[in-house]
Amino acid sequence: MILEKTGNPGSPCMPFHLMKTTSNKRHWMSRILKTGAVVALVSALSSCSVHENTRQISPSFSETGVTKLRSFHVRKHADDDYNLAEDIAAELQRMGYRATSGTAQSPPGRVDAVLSYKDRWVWDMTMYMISLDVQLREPGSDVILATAKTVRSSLIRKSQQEMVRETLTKLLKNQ
Amino acid sequence: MSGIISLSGCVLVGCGSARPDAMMPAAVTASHRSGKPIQAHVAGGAEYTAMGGPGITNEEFKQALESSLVKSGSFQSAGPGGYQLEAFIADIDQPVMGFSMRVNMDVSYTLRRGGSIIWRKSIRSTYVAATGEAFAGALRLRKATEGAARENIVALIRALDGQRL
Repeated sequence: MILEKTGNPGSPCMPFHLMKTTSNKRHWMSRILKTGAVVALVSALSSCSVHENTRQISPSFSETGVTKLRSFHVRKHADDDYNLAEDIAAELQRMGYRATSGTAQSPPGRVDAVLSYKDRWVWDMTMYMISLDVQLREPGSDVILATAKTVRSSLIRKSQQEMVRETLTKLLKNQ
Repeated sequence: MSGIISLSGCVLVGCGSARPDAMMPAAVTASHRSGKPIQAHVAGGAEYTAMGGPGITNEEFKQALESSLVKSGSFQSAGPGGYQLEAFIADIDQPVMGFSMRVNMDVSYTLRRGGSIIWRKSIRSTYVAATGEAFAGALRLRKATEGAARENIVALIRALDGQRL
């Protein structure tokens, strides 16, 4: 029996039923390996570094309108575990704007625009922010006037503060 | 083998953008009819989202919007000479993976007539595509995206109906 298991499948001393089973196993192993190789290749080609930093302005608003804005309220969302709202407000102040942050839907005082944001985090050795999407809204109506988005995949990840800076610069500075 | 390659590519990068007919609500009837044409102008769309999921192009959403608004009875036809609707696709929020796929979509609408703004609103819609809708994840994500767009158009028709144009 041991000889049969370790023997050459093609040898004339191996029983026919075992030769067939070994041949099937080889066939399936070959298919699995080929499939694995193709999937690995496609994955390798698709998992390159992604960096996107874009801005979109509503047709009912304008770039001039964006540059005229001087004061903002950052609307903190309920799942903000990283104090992102405070970082956005701090970065706005550093850029020379007046800015507040808070969980209230409406700003506490009169402001030119409300900023809402959406952050997405993923795990790759450590947690990191893969994308930050900031929406510029009209106070009162809450209509979205413009958006800016930064996407950075793992290999070119940046700190939270740098993601905030990159996104706000894209949103508010003249292009 | 070629099937495996195309399937892998499809799963990794998605299977194209949403289709206009799949974004149209099946039956939404407006109670008030403006009797005027509507012309839509869409911005913010793209074939793929920033995360590589299926997007919605401006042209596809324009087609779905105009056809749905005319079909609902809110407007007489698609074209110039009546109302202008500006739609700004501000966000399409898609999951990276999952069984039930939830997609949120934010669109800002501005309705004009003769150059003046007569109505503005941002509408957020959500659609969850269950595994029963499509087995392949990429296809399920596209269906969820189309569903979110469809729900957004339904909300738009209802909101405009309340304006009694």
